[in-house]
Amino acid sequence: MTEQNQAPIAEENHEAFLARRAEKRRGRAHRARHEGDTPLNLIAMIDMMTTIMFFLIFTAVLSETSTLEVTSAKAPSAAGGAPSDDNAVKVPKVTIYISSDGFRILDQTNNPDFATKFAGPIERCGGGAADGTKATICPRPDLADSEPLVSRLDYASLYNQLVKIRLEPTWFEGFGKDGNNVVMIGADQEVPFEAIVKTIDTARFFLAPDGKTAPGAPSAASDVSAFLLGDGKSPGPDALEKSKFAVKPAAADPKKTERFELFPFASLVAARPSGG
Amino acid sequence: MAENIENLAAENGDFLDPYVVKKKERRRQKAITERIEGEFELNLNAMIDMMTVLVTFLIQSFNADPITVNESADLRIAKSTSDLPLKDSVAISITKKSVMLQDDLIVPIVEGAIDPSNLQSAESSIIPLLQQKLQERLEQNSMWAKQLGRPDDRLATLIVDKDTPYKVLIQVMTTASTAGVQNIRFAATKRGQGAVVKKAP
Repeated sequence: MTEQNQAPIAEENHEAFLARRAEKRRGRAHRARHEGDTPLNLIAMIDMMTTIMFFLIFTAVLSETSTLEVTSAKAPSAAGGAPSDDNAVKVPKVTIYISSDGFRILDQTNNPDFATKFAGPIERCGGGAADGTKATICPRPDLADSEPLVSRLDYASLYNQLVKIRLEPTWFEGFGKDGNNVVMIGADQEVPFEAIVKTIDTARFFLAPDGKTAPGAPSAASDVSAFLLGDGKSPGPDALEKSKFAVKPAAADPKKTERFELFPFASLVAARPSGG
Repeated sequence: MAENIENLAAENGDFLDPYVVKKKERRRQKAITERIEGEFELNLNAMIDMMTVLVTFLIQSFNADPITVNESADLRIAKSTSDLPLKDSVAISITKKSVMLQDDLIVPIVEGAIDPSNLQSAESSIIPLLQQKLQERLEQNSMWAKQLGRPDDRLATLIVDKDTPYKVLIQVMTTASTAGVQNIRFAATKRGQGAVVKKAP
């Protein structure tokens, strides 16, 4: 049957074939109209959707951009800190200086307690008092010197040291007052921007270490070790990234959570700060 | 046709709406005729479904941020856990090759440094051209803020390549402060805290 029908089509005049087909379509459309079987013409919609789709694909930004607030680069003495009250305990102006040697933690107020307890090299880096020659937190030992500085810096140990400073009972309350929980950050000229951002990020909030249960609200009486990564000894390279923020229900809406601030504000300094 | 209707009804064993049966039969006949005459219609339903899903997804993820961050080989921004959103402000970009104000090239960066001829003096951190253009832009923004009754926050967003040396960053930040910028924010790609870290091979 197929061959019988196709043969005449192939032989007959092409125009006659087209006319017959058009007539057939007209008839079909007529029938469809009368029988309520109208086909929907989707061509215009497909055209429009294709155009919109290409536009959206080309303009789509699939990663979300956020921002980090910092204060402008000023002289170290002018940056951060609330006006001091002579009767109040002097709160250290914590400064982190980044170089190829690692992190140096300094105090702009030259508090001797700070220098003894927190500015000297940590145990892994030799220990002892701060003498200005050794960094407080030396680079990670598991990576060669040829690796990029941003990977070699030991952010987990920096976090631990900042937690110890923040929870020191002498000045815990003082840090809680407005303007005192600022960390100043300086760096050698060649230090890449990524290291600065990672340092600011490390210093902002308390963490619940290694996926453990939240250690509760930090206070002057808090058990410091509950907040330390890697039990405070030698946190592994992933310790920081694996830990989640320590949180509490928000005062305004208990369904939401709030983080505990460590040093949430950062101020970048141009010159290498003095002090220890 | 009547036989076909009866057959279909018998096959299903249920009551069949004669209109539906008629329609099915008509479609079957149409399909046979079209097959014989070499004429067929393309079924676009699946494609339209897929396109609708795609368009809906893309519209939902369409980003209407006040500042556009166009990453390229010369501008890869750092990642941060901060969730502070982008705000309408003056955008200063520091790429591997240049410092730009909005979309205007201000000074080139060669081998990770700004040429001293583009600085106020060899020891200075001020970039005079950036300072001048920034002041003009801030004045414009102040005027607009006044007219629209908005607070003039004198905010600048720095879109910085992650490999930018600290020296260049400080030069730009010092210039911005000198030009009258009061608040500075760094643009960063948002990342979650506590994500599983991929180890390098």
